[in-house]
Amino acid sequence: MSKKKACLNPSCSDCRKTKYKASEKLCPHCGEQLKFVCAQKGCYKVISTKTKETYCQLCKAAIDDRKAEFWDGAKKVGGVALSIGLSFVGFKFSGRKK
Amino acid sequence: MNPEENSFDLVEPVMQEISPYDVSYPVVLLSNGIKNELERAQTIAQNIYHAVVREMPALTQVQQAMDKGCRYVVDASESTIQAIESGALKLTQENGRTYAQLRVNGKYGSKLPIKKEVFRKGIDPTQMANALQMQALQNQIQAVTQQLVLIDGSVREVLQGQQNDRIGMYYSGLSLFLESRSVSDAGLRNALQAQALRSLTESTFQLKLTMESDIRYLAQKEYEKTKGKRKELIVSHVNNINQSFAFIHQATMLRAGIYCDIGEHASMAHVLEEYSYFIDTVVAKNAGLLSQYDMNDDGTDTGLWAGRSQLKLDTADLTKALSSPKKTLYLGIAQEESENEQEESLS
Repeated sequence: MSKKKACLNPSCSDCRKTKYKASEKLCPHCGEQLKFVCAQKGCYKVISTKTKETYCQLCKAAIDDRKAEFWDGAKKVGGVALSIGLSFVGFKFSGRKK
Repeated sequence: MNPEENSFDLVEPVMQEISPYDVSYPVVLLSNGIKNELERAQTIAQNIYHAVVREMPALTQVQQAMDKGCRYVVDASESTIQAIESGALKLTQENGRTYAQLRVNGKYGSKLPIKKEVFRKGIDPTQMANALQMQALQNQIQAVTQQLVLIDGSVREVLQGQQNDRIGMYYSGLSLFLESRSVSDAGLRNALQAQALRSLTESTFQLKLTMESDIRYLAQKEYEKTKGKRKELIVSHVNNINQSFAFIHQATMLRAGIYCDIGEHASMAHVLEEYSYFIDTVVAKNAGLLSQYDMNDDGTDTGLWAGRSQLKLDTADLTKALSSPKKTLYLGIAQEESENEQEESLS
């Protein structure tokens, strides 16, 4: 995802509502300079112009946590599926012997 | 928080005593201490002015009073004094007392006791030195107090409802100081104040180290080592940083307040100077980084940490003025000037 910009002028009707592309410079509603903000939906924390990060540190950490949770879940599901598969295979082979 | 809501104007009369466990107690203690000192200094300065005006013909004696606070007089009758005027005088000491002996016809006569007469009550040299210091430092102290009020406004919200073991030392120091205020024995009072200061100093430095280590943890992104709990770790470290800063501020204000309360202005300035260094090197320097991690900060120029990055406690003038060996206080100049102006307008 690319960096996002938003209008942070409190008197603008579009303040903290729409996110614009990084190439946009001025707010189409009030003409105020747009600022780089976190690309996460609903988060408008200003991020530094120097950094290449698209998310603020908190959102980035939350995204990483969700990824980690997903992989943990996937591992658990995989483990359960594998154990079910193995038990099924084992059951099938035991049936053949009989 | 609007700083004006919490401003402590030094011109305003001393505030009512508030609960020691109120979050604003340390800064109010310091503010009240400074006000009291300035009021006392003003009274002493006025006393000096009146004394100097009253004793203008005997200016030499006043000079002596400022040096010693007393003069030595010969306790003799009128006839003896007449005799003294016409002859030589010898001073002798016996059993710790001083005597004057008059030389009459080549021989010394009876011993006349010399007694110490304190003739200028109200001009205590120590009091006067403190008064001079406080008067000379008034502007610098006011500037520092205004800056402290801004810092106080920045940290006070965090203090609401914060309790844990790391701030126990602060409460220990506060409790000892409060006890010392009700002790009548001077020795015990001094000992309790020293213990209170020690507790507060230890609390300050423990919290400073904790705060620095929490900042380092975030700067080095050590939370990335723990998968699945990164946001939780960031939030907990940022909370710790906010809490540490708030209690460092409280403990420092209380230390400065105690030093002000006992009249140790140089030590008070030293505490504030140390705090100024901490603000510059730890708070303001890392404000940009911390604004990215604090969920209560929107990252804008009006955000919490952006405001903290501009915090500045300039104690240079105060320290310079305190360490200056020469302090001059002009008594009654304004009054004379106004009188001159009145005379000019009349003519």
